[in-house]
Amino acid sequence: MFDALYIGAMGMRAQQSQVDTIANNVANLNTVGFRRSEVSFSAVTAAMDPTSVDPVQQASMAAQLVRGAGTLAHISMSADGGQLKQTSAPLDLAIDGAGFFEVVRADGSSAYTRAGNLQLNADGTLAAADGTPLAGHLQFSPDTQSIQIAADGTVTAVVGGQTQPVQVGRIELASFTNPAGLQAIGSNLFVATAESGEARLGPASQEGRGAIRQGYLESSNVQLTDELSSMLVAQRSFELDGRVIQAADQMMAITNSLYRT
Amino acid sequence: MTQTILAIANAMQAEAESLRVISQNIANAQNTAYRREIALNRVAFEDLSGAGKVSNPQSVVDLRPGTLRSTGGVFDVAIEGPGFFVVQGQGGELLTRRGDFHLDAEGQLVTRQGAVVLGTKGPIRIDTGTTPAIDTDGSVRVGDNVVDTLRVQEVSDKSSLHPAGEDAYITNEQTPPVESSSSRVRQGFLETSNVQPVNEMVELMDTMRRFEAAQHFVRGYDGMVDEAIKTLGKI
Repeated sequence: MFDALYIGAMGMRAQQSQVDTIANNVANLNTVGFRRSEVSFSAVTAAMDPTSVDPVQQASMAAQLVRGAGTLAHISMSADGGQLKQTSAPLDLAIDGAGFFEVVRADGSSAYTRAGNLQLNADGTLAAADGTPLAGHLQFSPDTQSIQIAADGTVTAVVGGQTQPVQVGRIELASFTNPAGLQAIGSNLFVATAESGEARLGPASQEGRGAIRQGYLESSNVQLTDELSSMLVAQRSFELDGRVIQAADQMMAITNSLYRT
Repeated sequence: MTQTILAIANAMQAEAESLRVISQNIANAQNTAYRREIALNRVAFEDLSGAGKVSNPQSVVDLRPGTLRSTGGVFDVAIEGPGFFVVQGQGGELLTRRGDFHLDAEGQLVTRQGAVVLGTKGPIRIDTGTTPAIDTDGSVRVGDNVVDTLRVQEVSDKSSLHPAGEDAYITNEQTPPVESSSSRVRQGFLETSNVQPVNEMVELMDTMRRFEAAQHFVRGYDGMVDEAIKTLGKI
């Protein structure tokens, strides 16, 4: 049959996932610490018929046996940093570098986020905006008056009638060899994958993890103009792939009309 | 009679192959550094009475460069000139123009599909947290320390280059690639594909019309034979 029909359909599907990704990015334009997803396409090739070739020749013939069979979209996280905006709230933290905050999910596994709009849970533990507690179990007593978080992640608090701050603990940041390989699991959280490598935990301001800035929030790294121009390209590419499918269809119609009754 | 019809049927088959190549080019028009294919369909008539045969459908790679697009990415590199990056494929070294590299979980420089990019000393390992600079000669520096140099090769015989999947190419054994001296590596840029949608559309129209003409020929020839049978039957 006409391969072009399927190749065109594959192209349309790839453009469709591009549009879906753009929609998700634009919808999260104002999400704190949001990391946009990036789509990259790669050509798909198919082997023609390797069985028909002598195995000795196969190595040198391999190239000739491969031919184009469409395109595939891959989605990965963009590791570019967003801008830091001052909020002056004590529990608003931003990371000025490549690190991630670690949170402990309900099932005990770790997830990572750039969103530093933290809050205190009812029991006084420091948690992400959706209530997932931050790793390190930082708990504050109800009579805490002020909380200071230093650039290296050291957390101190002034409690009760005291005037001198006491150390509560330290926020450690996670870094990844390949942050683009992190998998988004919703709620602005990411989990490590084989592609991203294991998380390496350590104090902030070291090994490129970046300093913690108290009173700042990181805005999303979505650039509206970039998303809109990608959108236009995706739309037109979709149309172009559609034309190819029409042409393949027309070719089949012509083939069918070869025989006149 | 069948031989003539078969010759035309073969030609129509060749046009269907052209359409496959066009659709592949259009589907990959947005791919980084994609190189368009050109369908080569030679209809060879063995002799005047023999049926035309389309030699195995073949396509060659169009090596005209795309344009360089600035991305600012640390691991985004493009080549100015005829060179290719050398990557480790499953069966041996492959060539690719696609430079949207990243680090894998072990800190090695890899392509989008995970193939290891080769430097003069083998795989290139970069300590995390450092930001390497890549010079135009391909040397990868962290600060003043040169970690390795990206291998950039070129091929003398362009028709010896064949797609090997995943945006990479291999060459015939007869014409091995050589180190390229006239290519320059640009960090922070990616090369666009060299597909021009206008050209592909014109090619598409052309293919459709040739296909249609072949169909008219078959029908015309069929009518002629029909006429001949009737006329001869009266005698």
